[in-house]
Amino acid sequence: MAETPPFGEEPTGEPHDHDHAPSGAPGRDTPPATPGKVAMWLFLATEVMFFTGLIGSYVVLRAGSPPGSYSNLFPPGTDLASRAGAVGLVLLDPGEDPDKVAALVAEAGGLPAEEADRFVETAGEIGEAVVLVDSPYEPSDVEGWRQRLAEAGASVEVRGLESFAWPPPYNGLVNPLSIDLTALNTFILICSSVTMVLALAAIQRGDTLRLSLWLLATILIGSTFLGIQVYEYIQLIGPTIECSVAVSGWHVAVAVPLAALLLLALLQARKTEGRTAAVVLLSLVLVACYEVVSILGLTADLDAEFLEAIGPVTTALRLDEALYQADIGPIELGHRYSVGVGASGHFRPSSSLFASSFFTMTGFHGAHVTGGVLALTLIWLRSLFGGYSKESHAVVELAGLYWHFVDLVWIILFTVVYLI
Amino acid sequence: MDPTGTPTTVVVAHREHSSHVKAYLRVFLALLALTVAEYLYARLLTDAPAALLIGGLLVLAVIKAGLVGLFFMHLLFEGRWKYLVLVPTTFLASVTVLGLVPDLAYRQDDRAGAPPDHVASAGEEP
Repeated sequence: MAETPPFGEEPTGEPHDHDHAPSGAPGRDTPPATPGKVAMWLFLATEVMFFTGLIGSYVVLRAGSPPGSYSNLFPPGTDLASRAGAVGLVLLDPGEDPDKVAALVAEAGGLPAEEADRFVETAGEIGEAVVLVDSPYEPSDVEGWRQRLAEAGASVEVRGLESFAWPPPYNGLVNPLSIDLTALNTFILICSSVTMVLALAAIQRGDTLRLSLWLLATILIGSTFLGIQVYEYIQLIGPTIECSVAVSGWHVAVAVPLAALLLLALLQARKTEGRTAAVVLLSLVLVACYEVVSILGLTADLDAEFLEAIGPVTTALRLDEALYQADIGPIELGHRYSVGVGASGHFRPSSSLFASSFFTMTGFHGAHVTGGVLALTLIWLRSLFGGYSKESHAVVELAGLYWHFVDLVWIILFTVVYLI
Repeated sequence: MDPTGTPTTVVVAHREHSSHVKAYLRVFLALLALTVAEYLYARLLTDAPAALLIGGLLVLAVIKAGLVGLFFMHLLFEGRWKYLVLVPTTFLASVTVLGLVPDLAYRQDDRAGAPPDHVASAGEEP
């Protein structure tokens, strides 16, 4: 058996990256069981148990949820026994004059004007939302409002009460999760797994430049996954930003440490190889581009439809706008959902058992992805200084194992939480 | 890798690395295809029986997770030591979930005796 090298310099798990076949596996070209790799797998075993605990709890909570816990016309947990004959007016499409429809919705549902705007906007995106309900506790002229909204060009209909034990997918009246957006995010995370494995393959060939580039790609794609998850959370939770106390902290928090780190990397790179300097410069350009786009979003009068079209960036720009215009007061972000999603019109951990389960599971996964991005960033910076070679790159493989595990967990979570 | 490092050995090693990269890319394409299949399956069979919907989606998810573990995490290539980690973990994780099944069954039995007849019920738990 080969002598055990110190941590960080041990042979790695790639099938061709060793000198001897391990004992007990004659004739098979298997990599050695290095201490670092075994330790990482033991850690991942504990992570498997952690996520199994979460998923097992979710299964119990879901299967044990009694019928009637969720309905299309009332907030989760409402006693439906005395509301059996309730009917609701459902907005399917605001039509060509959403402002007029929003004014009517504000009047019918008793919503503030800004909330009514976001309610109509959300209904247009999701495809349905309950405007008002006629029940023994809340008598309303549903038919009269249906006619007024229809005359304003909106597509509306009156529906009876439907109840569910658990919010089914693709039902916007009780389940606000966007499967389309999350399927895209799943695709993005799978892409990051591929770039990670290509980074490992590069350093196994001794190609340090491609190692740095694939690591950078993994970090950027992983950050994109996190960005979309944050966007999803903002849309669901609908936070209120207090502009009076928020200045340009976002850019200070993000850009300054990044710029400092990259400047340091640039100075170090001058002492090593010219091509690593190119990678650092490319990264600096990326950071600069981010700042330029943000500033453009603040100063230029961009077309509203363009802002909507670019999706997640819109939220970031709105946040920027809120941060810079400190005198405009509190600003609300995100969607304003139908009442069946949550009593407040938002999907927050306190809204329902479904909501708290969702945020617990996806939140813990997001924390794992964040840890992975931070670790990969450190490894990438070290790679710029020539910290890894064909003979010594165990850390890259161990980080890769962790990253692929996070991808694997998301594959299961996406299926269990979103699709089923 | 051959410790002699002769040019011939280097060329062979390079070819083997290239074949691994090709394998990674094939797995990547398979994962994408399975993700699209999963998405379409869930979308088209939304109203299908729960066993068909959940069973099909879980099979697809397990295949995807298996591909990531076997190829990207190199489990396919590791020696027998991997079973020392995988077998106890799989056993304990299975027991953790399966141990809850009797509870789920009892809850569903209780619920079957008291259907909510005051409202039109839809999409009840399988």
